[in-house]
Amino acid sequence: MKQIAVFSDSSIDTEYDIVTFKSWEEFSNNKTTIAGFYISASCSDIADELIKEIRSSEFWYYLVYTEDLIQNRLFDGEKSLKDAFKSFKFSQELLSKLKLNIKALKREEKLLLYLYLREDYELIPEFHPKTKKLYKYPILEFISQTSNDSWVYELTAKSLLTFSKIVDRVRLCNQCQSAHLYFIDLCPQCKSINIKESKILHCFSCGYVDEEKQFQKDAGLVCPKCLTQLKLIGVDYDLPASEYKCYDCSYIFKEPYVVARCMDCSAENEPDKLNIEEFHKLKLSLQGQEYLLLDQKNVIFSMFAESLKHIKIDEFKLFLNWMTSVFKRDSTFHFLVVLLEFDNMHKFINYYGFTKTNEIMEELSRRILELLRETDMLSMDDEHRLWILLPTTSKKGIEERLLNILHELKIENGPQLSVKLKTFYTIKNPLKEKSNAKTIMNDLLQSEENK
Amino acid sequence: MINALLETLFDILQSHSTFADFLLLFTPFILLLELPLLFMVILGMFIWAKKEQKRVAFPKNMPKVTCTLLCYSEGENIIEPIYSLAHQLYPGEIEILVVIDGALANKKTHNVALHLKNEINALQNRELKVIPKYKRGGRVSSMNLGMQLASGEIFMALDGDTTFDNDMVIKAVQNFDNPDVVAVAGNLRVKNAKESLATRLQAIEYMLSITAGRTGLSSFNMVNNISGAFGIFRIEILKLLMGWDSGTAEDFDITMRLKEHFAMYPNWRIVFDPHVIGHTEVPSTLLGFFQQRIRWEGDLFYILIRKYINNIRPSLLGGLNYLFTLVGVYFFQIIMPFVITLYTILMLIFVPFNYLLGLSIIVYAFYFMMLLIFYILYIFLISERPKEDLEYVLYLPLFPIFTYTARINAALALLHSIINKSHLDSNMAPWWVLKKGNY
Repeated sequence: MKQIAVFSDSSIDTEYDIVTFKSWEEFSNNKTTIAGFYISASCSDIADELIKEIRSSEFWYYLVYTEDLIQNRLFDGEKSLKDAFKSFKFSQELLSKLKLNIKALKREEKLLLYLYLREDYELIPEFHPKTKKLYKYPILEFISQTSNDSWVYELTAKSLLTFSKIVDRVRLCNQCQSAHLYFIDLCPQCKSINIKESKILHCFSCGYVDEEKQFQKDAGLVCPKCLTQLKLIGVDYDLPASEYKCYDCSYIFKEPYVVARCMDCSAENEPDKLNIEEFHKLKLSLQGQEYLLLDQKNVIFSMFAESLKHIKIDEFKLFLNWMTSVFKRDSTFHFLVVLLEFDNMHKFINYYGFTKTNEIMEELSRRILELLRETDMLSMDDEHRLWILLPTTSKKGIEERLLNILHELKIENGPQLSVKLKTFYTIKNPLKEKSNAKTIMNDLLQSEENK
Repeated sequence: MINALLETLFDILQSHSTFADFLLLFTPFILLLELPLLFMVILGMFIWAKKEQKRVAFPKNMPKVTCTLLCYSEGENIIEPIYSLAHQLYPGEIEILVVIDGALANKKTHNVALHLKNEINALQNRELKVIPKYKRGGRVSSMNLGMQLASGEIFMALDGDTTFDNDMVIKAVQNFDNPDVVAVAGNLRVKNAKESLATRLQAIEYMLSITAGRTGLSSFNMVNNISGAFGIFRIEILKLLMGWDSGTAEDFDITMRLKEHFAMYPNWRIVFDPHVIGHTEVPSTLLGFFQQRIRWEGDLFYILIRKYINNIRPSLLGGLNYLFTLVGVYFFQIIMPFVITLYTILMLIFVPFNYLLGLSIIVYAFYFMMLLIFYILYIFLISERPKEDLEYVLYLPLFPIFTYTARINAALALLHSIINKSHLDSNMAPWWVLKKGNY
């Protein structure tokens, strides 16, 4: 196993393979590969600075244990060096199972990795009253470099993370998404703030309604309109409950008009129309683990990717552009572009799991690849879309066969794979002056699917 | 017919040697007892009216007031009484204790009270506490419990079916500005007066016999009863008396026990304030009225004869109150009904019908005149709703007959009480409480 980086003021006598540093600078100047960090009690005072450095560095996903308990979720807790050693060993084993280029990871994958390396780790939202939404997930700002955490919830929509427990529900300004709101009650008629709750009296003999103050005379009540002395509640008068009166427009009302005013952008929102955001404790799901273990998110298209016909999407665009130019010069050189959109991939994976999906996709890709000629090329983009470029191929034959394959892909008892087949054929769709790969691909995305 | 009647009237007058001679026949009762009492009451009414002119809007002190509302099976009918207390114009603190007797059997009443809790507690200086007594213990146990839980300086014992004018607490508390006042008797008006002839006649009775009568007596510190449905006390005095005694007519009982301190504390005052107003329901039929009175008069007999007969001493009550208790209470309330009933029976047997009829008209005319004077004085001196009260002048001619029958009914009630110990069957408390009592 690799060495453990220990931050300590003095040298430590131990059986474990450690290397001690006094400061972050000393560590970063030293180019050793390590298994994890351990901060001894003697360095507790600089622990907060150290952790920020670690999480911002290339070692951001490493386990960091402390000898003393430190209340900061960026650390992984307090442990003896012996226990820390076991954990480091375990996480190294987990890491070795992954075939990832860690430096090229997107923020979503980074988060999954962070959670994967920590057993039963929960991502807990922390209350920070000064932040815009009142809560933040401590590690995220280091992973995403932004203060907006809402992308995390996209991972739950893809079932890569699961909610373990709801922590809070926050209402946000419609305009600027700030949770710093305060509520003001206004007159529903003229929207004035000059309102006051007061007892409202209703004189039975003449029906006059006004606030109690207008009726008070000495120690009794006298109706200002009909001058009747009101003595017995329920017989001479009643109180239609306590109500509000606007001192600007004299309107009397039961329920004031309440608005939530934003302290950041001073927009006024109706309380029931405020955006609501819930903060949850989050955990890595089994699918999230599978997702990481299976190397990359396009693992389901791995057969295509491994095929010799596979090219990167940028190269695909280059070829398409090239063919467009060729066609413009020689209109007998026809080509066909096929787009297969896999619409419900997330749901599909969610239902069948990665392994089963993978089997289905392998079968599908095997059959599609059998259809293609030497000269054909294919590519995938990030949105589960398969692009195929077929030079000098007529549309009819290939379209029928592709539809057949998709048709035969019926799965008993469960959701079906939803695939949209769209084609662009130079005979059917004449090219315009300005046509290029970008316009063709955009037009295809927006076109109707072939039935 | 009328001629025959007039002839009889002349016959009656001529059968006595002079008119004065005839008058003398009635004189002992009227001159010695009834008229002095009436004049005293009227004088008292004038004294009160004079004092009333000096009344200011608000009391000097605004102590915390505890209103104990005694509830049983009223259900939704407790909403109005509670509201009328919660929305009093009194600026000080009011604690409303809703004591629910037999809360298990009276779940609805209990729930209604709980339902109001938040709404009332949201009001400034108002606090509603619901106190369920799961097993029924009767009025006395409810009031004693309320007294123990009360945090106010002034304690009001109120009936769960009575609503109150919004200045009730203000006016009641005003009386306690005088440190000598230990208790205030509230004035009850008839809530359902317009329901039937029976209720209108009872309304007149409440105005004249109770409101006017007690106002007059109050000026001489001789209030005969602090109504159980509407009694207001200084809590320290209640604690001194250790609350109410079990048994019926507990209101009369506590009034008597207060008065028993009068010789020792001659400065103590019990005030009846006719402007401290509550509204209560009365029986809507004459039968219901008579049944109610059979109970009340029976309870009165129990308390006066069985319980207090040995305590009626000038050394205990003070001279004036002793005299009044003898005449006003023992004579008029216990002996008079029997005398009147006996007279009626004897006259029916021995006097010719025409003579009896003529005599009745003379007596009626005399009492109606007295009544009319008394009524007019009440309207001008005391009534705080004179317009409303003036309507009852139409029913006034029926009132002497109503009182007369009520007196005969009282005799029956007393007889019932003497023979059957009816006070032990009161519905004011369950039998297991009443039978345990000492009397």
